[in-house]
Amino acid sequence: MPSGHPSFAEPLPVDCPPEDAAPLFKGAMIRLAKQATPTAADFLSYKALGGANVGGVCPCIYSACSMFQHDNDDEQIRAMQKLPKFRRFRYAYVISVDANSGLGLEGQNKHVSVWLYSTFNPLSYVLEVKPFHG
Amino acid sequence: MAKIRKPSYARKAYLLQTLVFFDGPQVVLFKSDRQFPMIGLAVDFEDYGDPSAADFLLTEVTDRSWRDYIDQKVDLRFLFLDASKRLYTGRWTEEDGHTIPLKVAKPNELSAEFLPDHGFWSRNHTIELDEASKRPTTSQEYAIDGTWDASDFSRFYGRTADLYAFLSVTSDKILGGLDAIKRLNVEGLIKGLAWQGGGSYVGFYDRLFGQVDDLIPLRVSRIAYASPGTIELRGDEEPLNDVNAMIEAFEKNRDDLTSLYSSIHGRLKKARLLGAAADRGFPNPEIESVVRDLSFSLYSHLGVENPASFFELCGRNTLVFSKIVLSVFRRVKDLQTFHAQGRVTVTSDHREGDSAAYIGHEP
Repeated sequence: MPSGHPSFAEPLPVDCPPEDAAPLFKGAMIRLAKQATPTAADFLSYKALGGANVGGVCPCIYSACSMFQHDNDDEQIRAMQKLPKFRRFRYAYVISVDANSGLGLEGQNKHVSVWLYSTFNPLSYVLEVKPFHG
Repeated sequence: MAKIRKPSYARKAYLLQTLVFFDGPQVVLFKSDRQFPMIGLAVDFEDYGDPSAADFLLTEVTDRSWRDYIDQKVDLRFLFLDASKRLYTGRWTEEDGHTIPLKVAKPNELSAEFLPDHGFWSRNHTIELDEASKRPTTSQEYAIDGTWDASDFSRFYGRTADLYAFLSVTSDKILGGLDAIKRLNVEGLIKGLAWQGGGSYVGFYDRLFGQVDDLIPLRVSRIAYASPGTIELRGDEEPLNDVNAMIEAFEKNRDDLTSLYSSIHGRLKKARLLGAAADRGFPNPEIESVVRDLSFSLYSHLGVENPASFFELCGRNTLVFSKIVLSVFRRVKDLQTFHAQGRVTVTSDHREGDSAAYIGHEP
């Protein structure tokens, strides 16, 4: 994890983000949402959304915002919509990011746990709202 | 013939790993308290919004279904549509830790909105499947004959479980070799015991098995109490096969192995080290060197991999290493006795596929 970065948008547990988190690459990422109009609440972490920390999830990941890397293959987003809790998440906010946006930790299938900087307002970087209506 | 019956329904499930994480765990792999693989799907029941809990719909799955799911022959929805499987609901709180309490699902909880749609595949997981969950599984049937009392069943299973655990952590392949050994803290377990008497050995194997069992369970899946009858064990294919290979090696090299055992045991006894604490030194370096070499030889002849690695885990302590090797010998000998007496014969080895599969049973 690089030193000297801005503060994070949300308070984080001790030792978070983890050591292997890295500055986001310049590009676009996707956040799933229920409505067509993005709000600040749409970019909160699972913890800030009030979710229970179950499933053996690392406290750092629990305090991160889940996103997908954006590419032209929408399969993963469509697959997520097959799950009961994401059936109503019919919009994908495509946001522009770079190293000044925050730190990320890549999982599998382009899932990225993102810790946004307090200096980054995602609402100002929404490139596109893509509808996914089944 | 009497058979072991499992409880008719599960009461709780233990977390194995989250498979899909996006704003919380969405698809989770558990092991039910009936020892079956169980898949959990995050849902929103009517009182969704309670921040202290996450609701899940869960079902036990067969080995075959799980393997088919991992191999993308079936999708996630298929696992929940198998009519022969009971569905459960679970309200998981942070206080529950790695255990989710289960309730049999009520009819109103089974509406279509709580099931996944067709088209979610294992390739869509956001977290890689642990190696232990991909391991091939096997059921091993043993024909039993002669007179068996309860202690014989217990001893047969206990010795097999001891060796199953030991072989699992000393293999380079089964649990990922050294990484697994570090994760299970085998080194700490060895250092934490006095190695002065039987209690240390029992404690060592019990604790080792307890840790291995979380990753690659070994279970008695069937016992037919009769003469002749059968015992069926179900577990990871490789250590189960390795246990059988050890028995065969013992039968072929009984004299050599017994001679090695006696040489080590005799030297430890003469040096009054059999009941000595782990930190007691040898009378002189020559004896220690001989005991170490003999122990390495016995370890290798028993068919266990990498004696040098295990010696390192023992803190390069020759006394501890030799005592553990002797204890492995005794377990192999005891298990082989069942075969030598004609009371046990390996009758079948039902391999359940060489691709990804999870240890479990057919619910």
